[in-house]
Amino acid sequence: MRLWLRQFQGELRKLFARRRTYIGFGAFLATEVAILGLLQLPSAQRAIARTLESSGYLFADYYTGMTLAFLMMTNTIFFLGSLYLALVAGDVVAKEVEDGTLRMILSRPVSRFRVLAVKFAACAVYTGALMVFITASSLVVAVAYQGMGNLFVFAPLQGVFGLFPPGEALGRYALAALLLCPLTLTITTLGFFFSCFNMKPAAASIVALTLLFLDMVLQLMPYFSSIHGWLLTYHMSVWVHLFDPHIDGWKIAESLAYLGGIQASLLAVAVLHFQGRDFKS
Amino acid sequence: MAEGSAPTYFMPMEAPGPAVDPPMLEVQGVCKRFGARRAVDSVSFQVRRGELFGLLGHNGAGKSTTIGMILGQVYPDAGTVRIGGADVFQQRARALARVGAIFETPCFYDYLSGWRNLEVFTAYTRLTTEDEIRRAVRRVGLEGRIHDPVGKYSHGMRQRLALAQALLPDPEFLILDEPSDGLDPEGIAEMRELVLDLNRREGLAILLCSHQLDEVQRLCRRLAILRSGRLVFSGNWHEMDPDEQELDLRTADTEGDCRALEQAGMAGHKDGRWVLASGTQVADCVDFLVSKKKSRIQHAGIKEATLEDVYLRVTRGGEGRER
Repeated sequence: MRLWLRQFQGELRKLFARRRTYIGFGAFLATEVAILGLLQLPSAQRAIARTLESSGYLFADYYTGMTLAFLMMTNTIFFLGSLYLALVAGDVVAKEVEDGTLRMILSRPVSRFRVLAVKFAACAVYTGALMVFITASSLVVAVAYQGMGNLFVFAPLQGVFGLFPPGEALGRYALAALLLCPLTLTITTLGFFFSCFNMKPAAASIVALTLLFLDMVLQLMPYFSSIHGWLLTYHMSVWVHLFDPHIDGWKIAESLAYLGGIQASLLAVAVLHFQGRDFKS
Repeated sequence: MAEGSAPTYFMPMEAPGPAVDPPMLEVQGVCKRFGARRAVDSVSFQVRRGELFGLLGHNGAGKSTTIGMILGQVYPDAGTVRIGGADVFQQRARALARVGAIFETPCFYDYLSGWRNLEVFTAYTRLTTEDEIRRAVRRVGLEGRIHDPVGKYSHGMRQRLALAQALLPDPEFLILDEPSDGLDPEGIAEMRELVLDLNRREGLAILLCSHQLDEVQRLCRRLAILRSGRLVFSGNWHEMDPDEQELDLRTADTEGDCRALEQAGMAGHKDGRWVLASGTQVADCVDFLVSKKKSRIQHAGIKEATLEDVYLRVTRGGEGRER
């Protein structure tokens, strides 16, 4: 176990010691601030006011730090988070193969399965750290700017409309941050999966992102509503249902199980392929 | 001579002594194809415990593939590889437990310090203490820069770091693929001393793969030579042709005198060299040339074969004798 931890520590060090990690985290913060700035535009505020007031609620009561944090976090993860996770995960094996460092590792008495397991565990931690960072930094920035206040959530695609007092809002927001970790791990797993094949790191990331994009397009097109239950992005957005007035635990569990199954299947195929690969300079 | 029909030279195995440990490395009939290309074809050789063994061959001869198979990174289509008696593919952990390897181009995580790199790599073998790492770092003379990012290291420093990682935690068999590649003359000499020291003082078995024949000549007695994926020589290169001595003769008419010796059955022409006939001594030739041809001899002797001579002879597929 101590040896496993030492290997895991090494893999984490590799991920977190890279400058790009901190550039990425800085980019997330900048994106959040940019979204906050955009949400100050009169047109954006008018749209939020229209939604609230059409249901009989006051804009002033719900245009708060919590609401802004929710909007900032959602958009940052959607636009940048998935891209970044696919890039990091697509790199994790393929880049080491390309650089030759994996050959150095594989000249040691360690099984290939173990190497992949340690790397994937490190990727999972990285995914969690990123989600916690995005949700926490969105909250801190928004609350610092606008104060805490009530939370207003409107997600038409998922059919969610929720209004919450500050205490409950914070609890649900924290739960969402936790739930996002296993959900976004799907993106990481997809990038990691392709990274285990014989392709360039950039190709692994691009293929993973292309699949996700295609999946999302299918979800957005009403003609394919009959297959929504099979789509990854449909299940990955289940976290929004934490902001339903009555949380449907089964729905969330179902999505987690579906994505867990997909992740396990992808990893199994990746391990099988990796196990049979020849590594040569 | 057509490729694939090159002669092979295999030295007879020395008579086995009393029951001993299995050889450090035993490569037995390994074959590997990449698509239609035959990269390695029925290659077999052994590295004994505590031995410094050379692996030679031109680019694309199959050296890297062979090393890949030895380390379990390339799956052979046929054959077995055993290290210390353990099969590399069936008992990987046992086989590679005390193996250190460096590759042609030392690869590291450039954004981590040398020390962190050593920690990362050695963790895949066993828990290593700081003291062990410090000793390996001191051994390769990197103490002053070990906490700098590897991205700032010179090529020579990277080679040293590569050797340090191969020495961690505690190998008894080292695989060194071009360890002197890209080093300056001073670095090459230091590396040679280090390799010799590891072999002679610490008893490590070493498989040395290099293009620098003069280095291999200085370090290895036994070696294997690959050509187009096939083993064309294996054994002690000094004994490749023990009864074939190359005549080193200089006279006023060297060519004519050599031909006279040939006609007298005292020498023969082989691979562009004049070799003494079996049982003939240099003195016999001198006697013949002086008494019968009245030749004026400037120099007569036996030319010491270099590894380069042996290498070129077997890789160019000149005439040879299978032993």
